[in-house]
Amino acid sequence: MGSPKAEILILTHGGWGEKPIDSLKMIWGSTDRVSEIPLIAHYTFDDYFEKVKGKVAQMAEHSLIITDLFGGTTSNVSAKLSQDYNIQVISGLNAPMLLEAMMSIDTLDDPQTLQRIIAVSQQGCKDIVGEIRASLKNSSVG
Amino acid sequence: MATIALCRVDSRLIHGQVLTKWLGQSDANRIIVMSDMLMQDPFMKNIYIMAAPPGAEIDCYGIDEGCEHWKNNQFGKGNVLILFGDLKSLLAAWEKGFEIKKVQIGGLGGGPKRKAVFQNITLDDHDVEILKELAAKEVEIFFQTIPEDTPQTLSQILKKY
Repeated sequence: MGSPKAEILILTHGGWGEKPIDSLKMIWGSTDRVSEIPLIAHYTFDDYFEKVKGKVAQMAEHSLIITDLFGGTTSNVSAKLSQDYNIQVISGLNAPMLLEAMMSIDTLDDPQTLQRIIAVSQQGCKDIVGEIRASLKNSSVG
Repeated sequence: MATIALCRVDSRLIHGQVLTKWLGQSDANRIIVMSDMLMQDPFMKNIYIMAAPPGAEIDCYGIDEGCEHWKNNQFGKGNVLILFGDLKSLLAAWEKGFEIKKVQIGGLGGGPKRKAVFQNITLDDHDVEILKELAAKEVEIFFQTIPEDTPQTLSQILKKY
């Protein structure tokens, strides 16, 4: 006990990560341990790196960064910071991912937690009309 | 020899705009990054290589090494998107034989002594000098951050500096 609490940091192009945090507040309640830093168009890589580093340096070990786009500057900056800080980084921000991460915030040091967050976020991505049609077809055959 | 689909100067090298817009727009299936700075940072180099989307191959070379590959076999095969991190590197490559005819300027970073000339592209005196030198070598230079921008010519840009 008494160890610092892990946090979740959201990095998005233009700062759209602010909205899912608001939504999360509606569903989950407190979002005190979730924050975001927008990548603004005129920032250079180094500008953004320094801003994110300022936050990451204060976060507890095993804190989680969630980025919006694999291969984008949000992800590249995070990857670079993982050299110096014991943080975890996943890309592909979506609502199920953020909810699962929030629910798992106290077990982020468990390697299985990260795998579960990724699985849940991937399972949340579905072809809804396709699934409905397939299920209708199956039930009419049966 | 490879076809050069696009040659771009972009201080962020491989990032969202390049992967989501220019790779598809230019129909490139390879990215070659030419940067001495990146070669001194193997961790960062691996981040970029890891970022390769399915179907695109990424190679990172220092300026000398890249120019050797160019001289030997014009980068081999495929449609290549070439990235430089700054104008100095582009000029150095040009002087070592990479005599590219057309270059897109997509972003040159920022700083207190730099002036914004188009979208988020900034210039300083040193950049202007290099651009003029390249123009004198008959390199066609245009400024464009994303495909939706109307490309700006060097003379249009210099009026704003």
